[in-house]
Amino acid sequence: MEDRRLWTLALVFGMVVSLVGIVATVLPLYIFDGNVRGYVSLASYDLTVFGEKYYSLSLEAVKPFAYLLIAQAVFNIIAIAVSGAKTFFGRKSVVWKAVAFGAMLSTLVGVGILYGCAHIVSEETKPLLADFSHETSAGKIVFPKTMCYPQPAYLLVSNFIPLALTIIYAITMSIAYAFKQNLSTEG
Amino acid sequence: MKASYLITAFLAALFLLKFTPLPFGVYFTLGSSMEPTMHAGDVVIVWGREYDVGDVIVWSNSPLSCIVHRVVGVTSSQVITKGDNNPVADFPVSKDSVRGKVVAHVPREYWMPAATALVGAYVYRNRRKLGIQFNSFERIASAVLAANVLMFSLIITMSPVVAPHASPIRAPSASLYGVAVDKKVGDIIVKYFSEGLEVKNVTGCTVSSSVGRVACSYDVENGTVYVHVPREYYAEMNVRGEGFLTLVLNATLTHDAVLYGKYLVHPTFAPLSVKKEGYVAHIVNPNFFPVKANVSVYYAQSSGAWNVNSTELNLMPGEEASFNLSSTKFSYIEVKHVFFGKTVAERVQVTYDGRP
Repeated sequence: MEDRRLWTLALVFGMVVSLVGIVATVLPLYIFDGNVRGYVSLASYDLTVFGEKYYSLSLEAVKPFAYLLIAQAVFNIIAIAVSGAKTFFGRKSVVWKAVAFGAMLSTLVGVGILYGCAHIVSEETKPLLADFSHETSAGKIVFPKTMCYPQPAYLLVSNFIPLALTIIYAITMSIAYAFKQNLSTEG
Repeated sequence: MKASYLITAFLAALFLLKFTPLPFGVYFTLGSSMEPTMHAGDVVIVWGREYDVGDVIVWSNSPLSCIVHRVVGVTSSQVITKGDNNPVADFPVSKDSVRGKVVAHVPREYWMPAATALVGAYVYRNRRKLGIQFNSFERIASAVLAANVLMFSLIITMSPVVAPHASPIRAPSASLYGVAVDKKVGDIIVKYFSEGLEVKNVTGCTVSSSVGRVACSYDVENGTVYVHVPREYYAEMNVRGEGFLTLVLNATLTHDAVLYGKYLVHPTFAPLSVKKEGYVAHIVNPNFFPVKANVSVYYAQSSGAWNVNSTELNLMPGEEASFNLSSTKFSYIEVKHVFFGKTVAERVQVTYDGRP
């Protein structure tokens, strides 16, 4: 009984971590208004700078990581859903639990990548908020300030929520796994 | 198993085709020279040798490496290519070096997960033959983790090496093309060289000098500003001998930018022109501001005394005053006016002994 409860708790955390991962990856981190317009998320961006489409090598490099994070989260959700369903209906689900455990270990890798990508995006978008005012032979040219509105996804990746959730997820699942091992050894 | 052999042979043949002179093949792109069209790790499919300017081709001067770049010029024997992300074109290469035209490209985001899934499915299906056994919890979990780490490693390997702030942003700008004074009407013409910014409207305009500061009216046409300086201001500058004025111009530009410009302007003044044409003396004001002049006509009949007839004139810009002295035997005209802070006098003989 204890095994099932711990697994269920771990799977719930896993589901939350995966959904947080998808939200943080897909939804915009920042929305810009002014001479820089558009949005930036980990998985995509659509920015116009002074009316021209903005292309960033760094943001392009982040995209494949974001796609893989989404794929990882989806895979995690599937593994959790299947193993959860099997556990709920009292059926043996060693393989799917093992897959879910592997997915959890992958999430530990993924959360680091998520923070890394968010850091790259944050650094890459800083120059967009620079003061573009300058002086030429014509005089001083002053541009209005570009407004940057951080979105809920930014709040997720700018603090320790995903990391904390992932650690809790990992600890819960590891305890569930260790408990099962103990039961097996004792049995 | 036969099907897998066939698929493997087909894939191997596709990649080996590039070592043959045939205009078909499958290539991987490396580097970032074709960004944003193609990324490192994308697969390109080459088919046929017909190409034109604008097409992406594969060319090679060595059997080990190929270049995937866009055609920017074609001569009778050579091809010039350039990477979309490169600042300059490549050296011209012989047409014989061209492997073929790129007809399709598969981004890495599509082929990598698909290929990994296929390999994974193949390994899982043939796990017993391959000696891999997913018969324990730990092995399955390790396999999932390994697959994940492998995918991230692949992406890291394929990613271009980029540092934050690698994408410089160049703000649009405008520089001064020139400031000139219209010699006919005295307008100050301010022309700008646009580098993405155009003057939309003027919000403030003043001129200042030792004469004082005055607000000016203005017009904007095609990004050029025409400042209408009051004529009296120029007239006063001439009287005071002031050669420079400062124009302060505030304007709104495209992209909601604002320009604060300050320019030193040097209007040129000219003295009144006094000329004789037959019996007629002409006094012309060549300036774009009114000039006051004292005109004295000296005339005499035979050996009599000289008579003087003086008048004050206020010659408007471009205005001409004429004096017909055909009825006099001896005459000359003297024009006194202030030119650049000094009173100048010009004297012209009009008639002598009844002749011009």
